[in-house]
Amino acid sequence: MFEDVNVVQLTVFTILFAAVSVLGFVAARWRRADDLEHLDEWGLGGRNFGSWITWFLIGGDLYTAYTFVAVPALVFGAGAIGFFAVPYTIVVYPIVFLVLIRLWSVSHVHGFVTPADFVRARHGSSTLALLVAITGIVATMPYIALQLVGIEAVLKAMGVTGHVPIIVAFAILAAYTYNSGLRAPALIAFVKDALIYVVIIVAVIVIPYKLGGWDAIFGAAEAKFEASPNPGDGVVLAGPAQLQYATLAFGSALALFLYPHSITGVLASRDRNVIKRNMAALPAYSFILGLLALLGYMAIKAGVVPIGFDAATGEAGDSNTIVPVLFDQMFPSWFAGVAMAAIGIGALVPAAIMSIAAANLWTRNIYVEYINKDATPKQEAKSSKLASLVVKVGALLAILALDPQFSIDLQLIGGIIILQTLPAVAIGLYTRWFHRWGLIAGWAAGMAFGFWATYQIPKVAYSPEGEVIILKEHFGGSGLPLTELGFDTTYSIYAGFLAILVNLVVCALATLVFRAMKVPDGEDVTKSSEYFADQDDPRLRDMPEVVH
Amino acid sequence: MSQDIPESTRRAERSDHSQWNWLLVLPLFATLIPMLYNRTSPELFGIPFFYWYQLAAIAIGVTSTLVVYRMTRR
Repeated sequence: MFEDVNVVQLTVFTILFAAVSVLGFVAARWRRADDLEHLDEWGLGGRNFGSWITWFLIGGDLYTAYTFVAVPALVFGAGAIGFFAVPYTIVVYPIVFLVLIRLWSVSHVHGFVTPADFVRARHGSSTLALLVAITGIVATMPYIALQLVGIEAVLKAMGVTGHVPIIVAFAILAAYTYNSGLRAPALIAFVKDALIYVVIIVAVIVIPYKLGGWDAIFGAAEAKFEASPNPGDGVVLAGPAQLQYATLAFGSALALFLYPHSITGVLASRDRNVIKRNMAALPAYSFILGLLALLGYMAIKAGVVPIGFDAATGEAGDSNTIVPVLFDQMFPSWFAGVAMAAIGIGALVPAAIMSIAAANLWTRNIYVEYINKDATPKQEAKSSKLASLVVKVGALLAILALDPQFSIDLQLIGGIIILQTLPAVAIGLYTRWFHRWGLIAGWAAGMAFGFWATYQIPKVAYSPEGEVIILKEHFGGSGLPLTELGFDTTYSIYAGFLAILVNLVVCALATLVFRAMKVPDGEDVTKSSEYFADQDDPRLRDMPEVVH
Repeated sequence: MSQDIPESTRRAERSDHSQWNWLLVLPLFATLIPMLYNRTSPELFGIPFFYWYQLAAIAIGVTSTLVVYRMTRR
């Protein structure tokens, strides 16, 4: 378990990890509530976070440890396409700016905790709400599991192998999330984000200096991609890859704030201005993510070899380890330890918030809806706390008992399936034109298309002679070659983008059909003025009652 | 004209409508058309255009959202 361990690194890592664990438990007393046994407190931190806390919380929530290892890994392997994370996180905030304040307002008036709560009230359909809840849980679960992959990559780079350290880390995480709820990741996010900012800023100054400048770094990358037989890689996009780049960035941006954990962060904020200010301030993280992506090129120049790579057997190794290995090579041990801890702690914040969000979906939209209709606030909180444990155990098992590749595949689909809730949630905030059964039909069609499309996409590699080698027949990526749809072209497109188009078309057609058949529409218990309510508004009650 | 003002004021009170909101479209045009920036030159400190342009485009996103926030604050 501990062969070739870098003692200094591991010590620094362990100290920082232990320190944030203490913070996680102490968080229960932070901005103390009268009673933590209420979902507004445990699950939304009292719905009272100001601009700074929200900035750290949502930043810590959206820019996950997995992002930090996987984005540079993609740039390392394929080049420019991996940089889609930057346009993606530029456009997301202007897109959701107006949408989120509407969601916040109506959720505050009615006391909604989850997106499915809103759907239930807006469209008057418990079936649709259940579908939105299940979609959210299914999309979130593999995302939690991938945070473990992030921690594992760091541990591997420090020479620590085996499952015990991960189990311990997750057990501690589970315990303080159970204890402190959303306050734990909110407090830990301060440490996580501060560490990330320091590490990345140091990295983009020190590493290029050591490697002979950006010229040398990009020169090495160009040389690598020129030598590579893959026609799709390069430091700029190959012509046909541009469509996929743009649709991937746009589709991912549409999906991001449909994820339950993003919405949890938004609903926890104090008023509309907190959200608006954060839409302007959160791109600071996008800048860091962009710099981080460039670490992939630095790794090329530095000659980083992924752990597990073996030229003799053709074993590709774990590409997620390239950033930790780069840190290990470039930094003195103590600072490499800090850098590893930044990534490791970076996994804890999103994992906690995601498990809280999934647990809230379970409680509000399944437990209260179908199992215990008269649940007290205390029972709701209890149910969520227990569910957050179950979710984490599930994620742990998914990584330890199954091939982690399963979680990676699922997460890939996760973005596509969560996007299918867009008509019910995001468009639903603006209009009730869609019939509730139309929304259900559209959801089903979008899901079916998304699965079909990703099933068609193989994962390929290229032999030195330029021949295509199929590594995996199905679920090999999210770029659907347009030839699959009968077009004679080399272009690919983000499967999720097509899936949401299919969804919208079916939604509209089915709506017309159901209206013509005079199928009764659901009752809308929200009022249009409620979409503009703010904190100091008389319409807004201090402790919103639960609306079912 | 004078009758329009109370109407528009009332509308502003209970909606998020504003001409400034159109600024939010700008970052999408700036970043979602890769043809605009998919090349290596001009380089900046040895960084190809593709990369430094997109990093700089973050400022376009920030400015748009910031202006909309300031101008629609009540």
